[in-house]
Amino acid sequence: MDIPVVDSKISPEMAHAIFQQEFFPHMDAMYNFALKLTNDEDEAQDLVQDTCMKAYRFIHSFEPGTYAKAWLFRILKNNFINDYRKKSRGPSKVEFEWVEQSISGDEDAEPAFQADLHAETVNDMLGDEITAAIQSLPVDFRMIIILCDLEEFSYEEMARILHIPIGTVRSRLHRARALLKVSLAKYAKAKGFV
Amino acid sequence: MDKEATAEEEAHFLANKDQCIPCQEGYALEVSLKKAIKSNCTVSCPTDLFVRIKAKLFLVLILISILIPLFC
Repeated sequence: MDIPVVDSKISPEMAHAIFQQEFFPHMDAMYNFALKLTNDEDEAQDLVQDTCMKAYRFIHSFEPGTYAKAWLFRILKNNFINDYRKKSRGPSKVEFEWVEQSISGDEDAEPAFQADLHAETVNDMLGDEITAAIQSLPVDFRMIIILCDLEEFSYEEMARILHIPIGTVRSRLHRARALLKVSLAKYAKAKGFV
Repeated sequence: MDKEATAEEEAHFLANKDQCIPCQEGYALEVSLKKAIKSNCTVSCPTDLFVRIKAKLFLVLILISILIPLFC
């Protein structure tokens, strides 16, 4: 086991208290995020565990009273990008032209189509169908949907967590939602909902 | 919808939304999607993972408590 590097000003008792009061209340959200990123329960568990160990290692950079959830999510996201992304089972087989545009840096390109989907159709869908549609998104789009719609981070917090400009947060979110609608519309059509 | 608009922008949108059917439909769809995600896509952290993490951290904290006096 690696002996963590901690600041001498943070006593083990203080670290314990920070985990109890500030970090542990976000375990469900962290696991949920990790599971959506990895698509694999074992990898999600490893990712959350590694994130907690890194949170301890770098606890000196956490300021008690600040937004612990955003701080933890930033560590988790970095951990995922650095250590898990390559080996994760990613669907990422989304053949939409503007996904490629966004990957090539053309973040402002408008989608070339609109999804034929209505609010009533979405209301009739089951959780599994919504979850499957989210899981079918490329990971960058999946990430922003979870952070915004599920965890309700502000655009500014998302920009910090993802280390991207706030304008990119807006455009990526717009794209992610459009992709999600296309995915759900395809599903609804296949199932005869529309 | 994401609570990112200013009060002025929100008032402008709400005042004009009813005059534009595509805006109404688009807004209703986005809101229902957001609600569907919020209510359907949450899973809880497995209890054994939480216990494992707590145990590992406890062990690390004990080790640090023992080691710090030896080097100070």
